[in-house]
Amino acid sequence: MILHDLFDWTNAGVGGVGLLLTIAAIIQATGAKAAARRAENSVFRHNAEVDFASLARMAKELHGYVEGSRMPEARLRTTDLRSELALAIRHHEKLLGNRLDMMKGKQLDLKIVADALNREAGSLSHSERVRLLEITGAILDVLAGQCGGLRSKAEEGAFNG
Amino acid sequence: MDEKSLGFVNQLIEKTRQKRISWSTGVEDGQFKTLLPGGTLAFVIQVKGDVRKFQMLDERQEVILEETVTRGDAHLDKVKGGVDLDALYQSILDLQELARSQALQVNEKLARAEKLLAAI
Repeated sequence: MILHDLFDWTNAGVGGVGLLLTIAAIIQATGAKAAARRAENSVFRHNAEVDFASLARMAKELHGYVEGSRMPEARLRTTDLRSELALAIRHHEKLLGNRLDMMKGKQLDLKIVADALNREAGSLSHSERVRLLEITGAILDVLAGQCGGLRSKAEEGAFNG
Repeated sequence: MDEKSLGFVNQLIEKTRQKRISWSTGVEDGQFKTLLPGGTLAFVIQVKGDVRKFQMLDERQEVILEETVTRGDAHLDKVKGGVDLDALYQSILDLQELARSQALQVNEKLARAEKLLAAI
C-alpha cells in the first residue's frame, strides 16, 4: 500500500516537472519568436532608413539645381526622384503609417514640378520660380524628416535592447 | 468626357464649399491642387489668362481626365461631349476662385488686415 502511494507520488512529481519544463520551453520559444520579429523589424526599418536617406539626398540636389536655375539637371533629378519615391512607398507602405498620405502628397508635388520644368526653358515667371523653390524645399523637409524619424526609432530600439 | 469633367468640377465646388477638401498652391501661376484622402485621386485646376485647365490624376499621377477650355471655345457657344463649353469655362473659374481663397487663406488674411487697419 505504502509502496503504491510512493509510486503515485513519484509519478505525479515527474509529471509536474515535465509540465514545468514544457512551460519553460514554450516561454523560451515565445521569447525567441519575439526576438526574431524584433530583429526582422529592425532590418525593415534599416532598409527604409537607407532608402529615405537616398531620397533626401536626391531631393537636396533637386532643390539645389532649382536654386541655381540649372533646370535640365533639375528635370532629370525630378524624374529619378519620382520613380524612387514610388518604389519606396510601395516597399515601406506599412512602416509609413499615417505619413503615407503626406508621401503621396509629395508624389503629386513632384508631378507638378515635372510639368513646370518640362515647359519651355526660361518660360517660368518669377513667382513660379519662387513656388518651385518652396515646393522642392518642402519635399526635402518631408523626406529628410522621414529619414530622421526612422533613424531615431532605430537608435531608440538599439538603446532599449 | 466634358460632361464627366463638368460633373467632377461641380462636385469639387460643392465639397470645397463644405470644407471637405483642402487645396494648396501649385507651381504654375493660377494653379491649385488637391489630393483626396487615401491619396488615390488628385485634382489640379488652373486659370491663366483666358485658358482654364482641369486635370484628374490617379495614384500614379497619370492623367485620367484633362480639359482645357479657352475663352474662344466658350464664346463660340461650342458644344463638346454634350456639354456647353461656356458652362465648363465658368465652373472651372468658380472652383479655382474657391481653391485660391482656401489655399491662400484669403478670408482670414482680409479679416486680419481689417483689424490691423482699424487699430492704426
